[in-house]
Amino acid sequence: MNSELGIKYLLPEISLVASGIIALIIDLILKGKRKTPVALWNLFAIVLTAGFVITRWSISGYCMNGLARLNAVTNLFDMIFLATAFFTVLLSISYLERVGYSYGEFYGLLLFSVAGMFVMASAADLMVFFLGLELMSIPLYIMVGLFRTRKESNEAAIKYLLMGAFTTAFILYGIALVFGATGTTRLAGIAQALASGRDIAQSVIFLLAMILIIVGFAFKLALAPFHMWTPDVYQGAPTPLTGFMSVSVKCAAYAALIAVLAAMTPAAKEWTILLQFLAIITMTWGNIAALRQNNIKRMLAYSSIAHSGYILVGIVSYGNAASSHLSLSTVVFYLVVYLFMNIGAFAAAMVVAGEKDERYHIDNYRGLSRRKPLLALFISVFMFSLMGIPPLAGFMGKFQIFYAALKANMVALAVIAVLNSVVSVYFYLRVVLFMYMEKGDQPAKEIHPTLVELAVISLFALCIIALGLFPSVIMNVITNAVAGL
Amino acid sequence: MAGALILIFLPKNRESLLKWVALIISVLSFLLSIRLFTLFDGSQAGMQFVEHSGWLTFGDFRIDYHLGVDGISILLVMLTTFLTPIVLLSGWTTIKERLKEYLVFMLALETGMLGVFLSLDLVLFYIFWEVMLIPMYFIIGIWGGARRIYAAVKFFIYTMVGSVLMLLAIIFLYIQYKTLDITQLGGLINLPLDTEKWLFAAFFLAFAIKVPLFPLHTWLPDAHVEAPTPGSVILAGVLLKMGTYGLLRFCIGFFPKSAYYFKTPIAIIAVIGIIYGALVSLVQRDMKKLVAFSSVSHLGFVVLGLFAANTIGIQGGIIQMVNHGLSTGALFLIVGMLYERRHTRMISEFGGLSKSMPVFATVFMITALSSLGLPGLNGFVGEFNILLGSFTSIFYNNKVYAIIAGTGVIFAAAYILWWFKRTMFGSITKEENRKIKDISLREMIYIVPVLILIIWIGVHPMTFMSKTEATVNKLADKINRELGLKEPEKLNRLNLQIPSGTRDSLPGHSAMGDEKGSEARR
Repeated sequence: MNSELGIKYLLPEISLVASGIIALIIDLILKGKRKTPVALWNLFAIVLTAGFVITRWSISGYCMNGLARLNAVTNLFDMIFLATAFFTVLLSISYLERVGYSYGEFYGLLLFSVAGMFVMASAADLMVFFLGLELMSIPLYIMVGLFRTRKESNEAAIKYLLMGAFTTAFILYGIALVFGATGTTRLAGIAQALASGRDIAQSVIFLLAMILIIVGFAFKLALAPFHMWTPDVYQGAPTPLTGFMSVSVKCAAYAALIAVLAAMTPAAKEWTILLQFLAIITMTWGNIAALRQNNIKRMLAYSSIAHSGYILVGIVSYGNAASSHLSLSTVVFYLVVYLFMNIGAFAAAMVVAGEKDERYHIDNYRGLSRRKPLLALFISVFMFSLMGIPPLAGFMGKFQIFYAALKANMVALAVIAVLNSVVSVYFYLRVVLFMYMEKGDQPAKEIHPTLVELAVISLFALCIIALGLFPSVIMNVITNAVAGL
Repeated sequence: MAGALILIFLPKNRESLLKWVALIISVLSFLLSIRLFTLFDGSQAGMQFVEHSGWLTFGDFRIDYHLGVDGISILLVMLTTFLTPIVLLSGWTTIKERLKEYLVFMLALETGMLGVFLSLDLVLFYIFWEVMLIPMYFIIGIWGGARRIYAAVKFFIYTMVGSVLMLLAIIFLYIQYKTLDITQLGGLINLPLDTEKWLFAAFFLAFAIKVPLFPLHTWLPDAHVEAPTPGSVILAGVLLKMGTYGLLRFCIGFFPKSAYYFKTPIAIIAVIGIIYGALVSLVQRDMKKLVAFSSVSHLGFVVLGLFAANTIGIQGGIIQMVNHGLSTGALFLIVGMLYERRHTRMISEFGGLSKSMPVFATVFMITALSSLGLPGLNGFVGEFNILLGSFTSIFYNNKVYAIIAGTGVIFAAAYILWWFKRTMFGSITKEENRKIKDISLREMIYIVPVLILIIWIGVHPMTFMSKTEATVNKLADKINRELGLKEPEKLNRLNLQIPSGTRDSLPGHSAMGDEKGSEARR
């Protein structure tokens, strides 16, 4: 485990940053309006990076003098980031051209952001984690404000930036206090220091540090009551980017959170209580607020808050030694499922939004099943999966989460989680209801999905069905990776 | 039932082709189930025709594709496959819009329902249980009446509330016993009453909503009234039985101790349901609502019988499930026929129909009599056994329930006969009713098999009850053993003899029934 790995194992990160710079250069060279070559280069870079990740799959150890940690689970997270980025680029090509904001930097920034996620997921030191966080976030602030002539896009960017600054402050202050309490920022060192004497884990300064760091995470993960920015930012950002943020930013933050929590195992009792509390508020708030939304993007934003809460339920059971492996694989599996459901849902919302990118109101879904039966069917698959209706992937994900919670003896938490998923039925069902049971008034010609968009959406819907029927395909990979820790 | 999949790939514009394919598929599955029924050995208590293969190992879970039938499920499987072709025929001309989707949903629904009755793996059971929500939701929501959306959403959410807690209970059982096999779990469960009570409650809530028992029944009238006729028939005929089936299989089969603990409130709820449902039916002006509330009443009987937890009560409960499926299903078909002709379901719109549509009146008469429990028809067999079962039940040890429930039969006679009188007899008050067409050939084709079964069960219930006897005996024995209830030896034997007793006493009744039938025909 402790073998020092050479720099060649960092090829994925290097290739991401390098490709990002190349993407910016290509963008400079290209004179015309069409930025498709940059996007194609991006796709190529992502596939290349994925290849590099696969070559280091079975490697486990520390890099860069113990600052980064590589193992099968971090690689798994890396693959999730890459998959999300890949589909985001695919969807962005037509979308950005349609709305007339086809900027090449978008693609370069996306790669930088993914590199930041890589760093976050494999950080073995709080400072490295912090660097990764910033590398991930700063490109996102720019991309959220991409539509610079739109008011809501500017609002979103400023909100996101300010909230990001808060997050940074909380986390930095927390890290400083951790350093004060334990004398190190290395995760392994923190674990050692905590294990050596109970009094550090119980000391006020350490508890305060832990709370600050968790609050910082809560901002990034959009956990209630630190979620206020989410609906506005998700609404204002370009739709493919919203899908990207809702999945991979969360995924990166969860990856880092798990590593940080693992280092703080001696204080597991304390953070379990804290996270349990956050999970309950997040699920309930997210679901109840989503009931009132008429804008599909806002509804999905609140739904993503609620799902963040479900994932947190899985993480809460991580503190229980008996179920920590189970809980980790549960969380990773849920994130994979969530990737398909959420990006699929946002992609569909993007298609329905039409030429002018403005048809996000639920009224625009009236009678969609008559005009675009296939699209309506796929949206229904996403909605039923988000509800957690079997035999779709969303059910399998939730099923595992509930299982992990019950296994860790958290019955009350599990009961609140399932009741929440009943509440969520209402607003997901509403979309289906508008599509199938209401009479439509808009002409169909406004919706022109391109071939790529349709292919991505149908691929995701099929994946959801396939993962619902045969979850073991992915689950085995995950459990093997987790077991190797 | 791969049938639904085939349908999806058929072209949309060939409507008649679609209909025929769907019908043939459903008839085929009915024929298969008849074969199953004749091969089924009623003297064995365990599962038969077990189909078992690993489906997936998922993390720690092993979920199996594990199906089988026993005495409890065989009749319900039959009922499902029997009603599906009938339902398809009943919607033959009324469903014109989005026909393909409708047929796909219908067959998917049949698959889900059969899956529920056949599953021997708890998670598989749960999956089928939930899957069937989706087609039903669409059937009510797309092809339903004016308030269909409200009804569909209410139906969906009510069912979800109950079932998610059941899911937790299933997971909990798995953590305790490391198996999801229903046949094994029954013998394994041995928890302290405090824990068991909660598990029981989680399962009970899911099933009580589905049945539906008295305070949880409010989704039912809405769903029934708004659903199209085929939807109502399936809903009343089979879907509600999933609730009572679950009560028997899980609540009583898994947790007899808790069932005993909760027996008084459950019996009271059941009896309230019987009386309340009957009284509310009495004042309905909408025929569909009337039938819907009569369902609440009938299913109260079923629950009362099941929780009597002796052989005769449970057998009565099972047979009554089938009866209710047949007679209430038929009543919905009849209401549907009237609605097709007049586009209204208000009782006041009709009157004196027996003059303009005599054959229809006969059919209606038989169904109505079966629903109110006339000896010689099926309803009597079920209700009699249930009342006898709960009267002699050691479990309740209280005869009051049976006595009060007995009055429910009187109310049933009142609301049904009054309804019949107001629509069929008297003078024709509305001009439209004078020219109303009598029953058509297609309608005859689908209603006559139901009538045949109604009379068959009434005259010779042993054909069906013999299949259930061994399983139910074993279950009742198990309950008595686990609770340490000493059932007096002679009473136990009496219980065993009663089904045959009913058989002996039936020829007399059947003659009477036939008389009535022929009377009505004249």
